[in-house]
Amino acid sequence: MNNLLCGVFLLLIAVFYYFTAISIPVSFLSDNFGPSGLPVIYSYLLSIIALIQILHGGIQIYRSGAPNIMINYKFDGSLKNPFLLLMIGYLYIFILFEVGYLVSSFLLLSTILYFLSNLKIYRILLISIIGSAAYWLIFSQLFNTRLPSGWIF
Amino acid sequence: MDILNLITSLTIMDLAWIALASWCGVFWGILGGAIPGISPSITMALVLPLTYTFDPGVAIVLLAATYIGAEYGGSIPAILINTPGTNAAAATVLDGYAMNKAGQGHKALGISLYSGIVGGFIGLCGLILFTKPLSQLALQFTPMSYFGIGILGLSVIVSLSKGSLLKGLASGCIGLMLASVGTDPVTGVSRFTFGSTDLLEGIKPIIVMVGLFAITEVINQSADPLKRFTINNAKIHFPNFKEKVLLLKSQLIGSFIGTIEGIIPGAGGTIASFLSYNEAKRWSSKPELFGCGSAEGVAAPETANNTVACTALIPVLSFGIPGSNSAAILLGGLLIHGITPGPTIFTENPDTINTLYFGLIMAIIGLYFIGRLILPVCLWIVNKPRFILISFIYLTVFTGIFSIDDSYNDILLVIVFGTIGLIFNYFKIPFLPLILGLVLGYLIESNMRRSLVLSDGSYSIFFTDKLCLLFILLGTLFITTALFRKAKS
Repeated sequence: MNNLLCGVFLLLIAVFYYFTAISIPVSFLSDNFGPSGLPVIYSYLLSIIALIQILHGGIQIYRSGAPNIMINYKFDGSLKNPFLLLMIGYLYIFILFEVGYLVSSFLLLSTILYFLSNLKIYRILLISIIGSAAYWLIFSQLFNTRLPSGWIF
Repeated sequence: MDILNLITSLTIMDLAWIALASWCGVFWGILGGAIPGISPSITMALVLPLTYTFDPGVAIVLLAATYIGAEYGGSIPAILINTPGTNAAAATVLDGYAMNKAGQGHKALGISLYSGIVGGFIGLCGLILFTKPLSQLALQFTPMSYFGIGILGLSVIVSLSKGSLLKGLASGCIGLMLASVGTDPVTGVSRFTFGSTDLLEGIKPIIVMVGLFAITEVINQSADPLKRFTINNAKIHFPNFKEKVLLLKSQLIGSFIGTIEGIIPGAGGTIASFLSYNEAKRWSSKPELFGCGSAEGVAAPETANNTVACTALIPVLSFGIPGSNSAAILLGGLLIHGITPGPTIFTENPDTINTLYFGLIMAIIGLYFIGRLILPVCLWIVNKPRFILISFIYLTVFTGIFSIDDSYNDILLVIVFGTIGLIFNYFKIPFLPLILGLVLGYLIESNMRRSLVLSDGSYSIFFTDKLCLLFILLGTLFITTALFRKAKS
């Protein structure tokens, strides 16, 4: 089942890429190959690979009998934490933009530690404050990086 | 002899300044290289303003030593947290992280440090002895030859595809597709940008690497956050004599490929490390261990990218052609101090060149001591509970990636690639062919189309150019051998 789904996934990418590639405007400066030349070839290539993969997956299912729809990829433990971490990552961008680097980093560290660790609240806060301040100092002062400013700095 | 003359003509204070500059450069470089997102060129750019008031020789030594340190530093997060600190360290992830997961992180770090030193010394020998003759070879490179190099690089995909070859090819193809994002190299038309100005420059390989390796790994590990890595020995293990003998073959392969790739402007350490990995696997007596924690799999790419750090100076010094961003900053450093690179640099500024050579020797010696000082600290950090590592890796990745271009979109892309990494893991699609396709895509497309413009659209130009034909034949040989091995196993 995995191979069949993988083939479908690859085919979807190839089709999407193909339709985006053929809509690339052609410039007056264009050479014979054009800006969409290789992208179209890549999409054909991926389509062929995807179709072989689908065929391969289909034969596997045919040989083994009933399809196994069970997810064959397992995380080490529960699915809750990975999902949460992914969401925290997406949220971080918006928070960084709104409140600036120092506060958003503190929030990022404390939220992750709150959900993932077994530490007491005061230790989580302590680690988050020291961690975010240290990162701000390293990147802003030592590496001279322009970090987003917000509520503090 | 020139270096010996220089050493005898300088005072102890001068020599001490050169040594100090090289060690500071190495320390700073390792620090920058070890942080994903802070590239060697950024690390060098940060010290460039400091060099204005320095003696030209000392300034160049500081910049070159930073470059060497950064190229080595990239391997530390690659081994410890599955995140290449630099593009060139991507190939080290495969076996370095596998060794770490097997509780041999201290060994992998020792091998990478030792290989870095070996690569550095061989590269330096190449730089000192062969700069003039090798620079003539670089002049022979045409767009067709670069296209050939790209094809040769892509041939590695076959041996990088663990498990299903079909999925490896699909991954490489997706990498090539991603390389098409941004401004078209010939006409300047924007492609696959969907109106975003941030994507006009294309997708940076480091963003994809960090997303696929670091974010995916961190998310995987978060399922059981109270676990610890099991590195029992918090000291690094430097290879003993017997282990050094075993690593010799892969190091020679890495340094040979690194020397050749270094003199070709634009080829760079990434291609060199992937090609070396592939060749080390091909020539190894235990190829089945590659990808599962092979010491040779760490030694070959690490030797190659550290050799490139020295030999990449050949085109900069000989012609003033910077082959990479880091080389361009070094070139800037030379120009700031009124030194014009080119064939005459060896006669007009012999002292600066000899100071550079002496400084590089000191930098490579410094790599051993500074590396040994820093690595136990890194091992200590990795021995902390997973929840601490996860939270700080997340913050390091986001901050490092933001600092590349001050872009919020880059952070978004990292998380998107992290999500894609999870999908790839589910379908058991390997990551490395995608990275290779992404790194080589622009090189292949731009040079293929330039060649076709030169030949009025005739494809025969790729077979009449001798270097291009040689690379294509070598690529075919690599693919055939790898397929034969796969069929046999």
